[in-house]
Amino acid sequence: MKNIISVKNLYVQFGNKVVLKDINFDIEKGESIVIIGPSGCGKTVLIKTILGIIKSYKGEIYIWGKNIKNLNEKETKDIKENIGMVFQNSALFDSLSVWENVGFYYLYHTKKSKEEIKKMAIEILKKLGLDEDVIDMMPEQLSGGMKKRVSIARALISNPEIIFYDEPTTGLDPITSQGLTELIKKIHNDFNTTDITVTHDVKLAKMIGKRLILIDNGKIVESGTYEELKEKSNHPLIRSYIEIGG
Amino acid sequence: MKKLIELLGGKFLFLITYVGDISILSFLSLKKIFKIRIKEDILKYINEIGAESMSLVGIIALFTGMVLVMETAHTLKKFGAEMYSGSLVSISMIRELGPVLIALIVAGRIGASIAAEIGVMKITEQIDALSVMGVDPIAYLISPRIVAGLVSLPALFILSFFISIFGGFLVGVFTVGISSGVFLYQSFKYIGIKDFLIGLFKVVVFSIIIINISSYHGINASGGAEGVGKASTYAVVSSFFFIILANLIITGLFYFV
Repeated sequence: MKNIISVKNLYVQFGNKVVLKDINFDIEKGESIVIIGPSGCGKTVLIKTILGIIKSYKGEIYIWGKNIKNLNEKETKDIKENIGMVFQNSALFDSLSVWENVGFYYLYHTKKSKEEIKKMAIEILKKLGLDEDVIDMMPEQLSGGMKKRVSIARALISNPEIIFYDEPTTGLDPITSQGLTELIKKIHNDFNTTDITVTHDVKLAKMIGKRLILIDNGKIVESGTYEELKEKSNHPLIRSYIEIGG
Repeated sequence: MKKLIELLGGKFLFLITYVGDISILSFLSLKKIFKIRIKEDILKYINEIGAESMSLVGIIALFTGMVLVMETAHTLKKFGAEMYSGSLVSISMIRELGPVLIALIVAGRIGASIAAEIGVMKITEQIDALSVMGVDPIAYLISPRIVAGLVSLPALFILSFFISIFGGFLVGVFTVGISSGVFLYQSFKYIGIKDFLIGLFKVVVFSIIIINISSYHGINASGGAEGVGKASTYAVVSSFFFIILANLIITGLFYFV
């Protein structure tokens, strides 16, 4: 299968601190990868570097075969149109209503009418289990779980091929967290997306991850399916995770 | 001694880097004015920067005009020159006090709010979200504010000029006893188009300074609520400093050299 994302010899350094060391992996179309590791190990830095938010790095990152360092403005826009991101704290725009948040991509990049965008937002919100009543609410009026769903709707509205989730279940109660995990799985199947999820939640990783990549101290230390890691890995971190995840 | 030189060298380097960063941001934010996509944002910011500052600027300009006549009319009266207090108000307000006062008011009112708003967006990853959606944060967050500043500050400048003369007029005519016709004639006699254009140029420069410095501190905010608070403080203090410095340079260039 064709690789959608390839990361080769990636190094990221902030000041004197090396955050990511010699990261290498490929992601194929339709895969659901979970990057797992303890807090502060460099997981979020890794996805932010792939997404072009962190620009200072050594190594090569290819998305759909294109080195992201050499993209022109149009290529960058084309790639970003096909990528969605769900941030750890949802990162909804405070000054915009729910439907404006969800439809922001179209409000900013296209000349579609506000009514048309609002309809699109309602449609996607309904698919994610949110009522039409929420569309005119402001982000501060939403619960944590609702914010996550709105954030997912914002990521999904442009029908992206790749979705990044940064700690999607952090800060949610166990029931909401379970619901969101199932939703992520459903989105993966229904929308046929390629998912890259960063988490330290082993249960989430076990449920949605077809392949797990374990990062510790900025380095990839193990990778494989949950079952493979459970059977073969002797890495102490993996053993601790397996103990929690069962 | 070595430590002192190191300390001074470090501060100097910091200042050079800071001015360099602000200059680059100013260049980019001005260049990206043509990439503003959501035009309604400009109107929203004109309302925030201009319309909402009008009452405060108006009151301060009125009181400043009144105080200038109060301070000078009685001294000038001793020489029979009290009618010139009108000229004094107009010249001070158009050349120096008007532009600087407005800039300081706007920096205090708006600078802190811009730094806090952008700072919160930075800390809560909203700026990263913009970037992921292919939205240039400078073109979306800063350039519309630059346009709004370039519209609002000159408008406030013109407004404050006339209100300050009105303030001076009230004191000069009704308490000092200068004839209203003489006061108004003297108010406009000694100011030329050059003074007006330089005043206008000053507020244009000051608005670019305020918006860019405040945005810069917002974009570089880190460390949660405390970081946002610090960003707001630095935005205001730094804007004040660079407004006064820019005023010195512009006045020196146009009236002294």
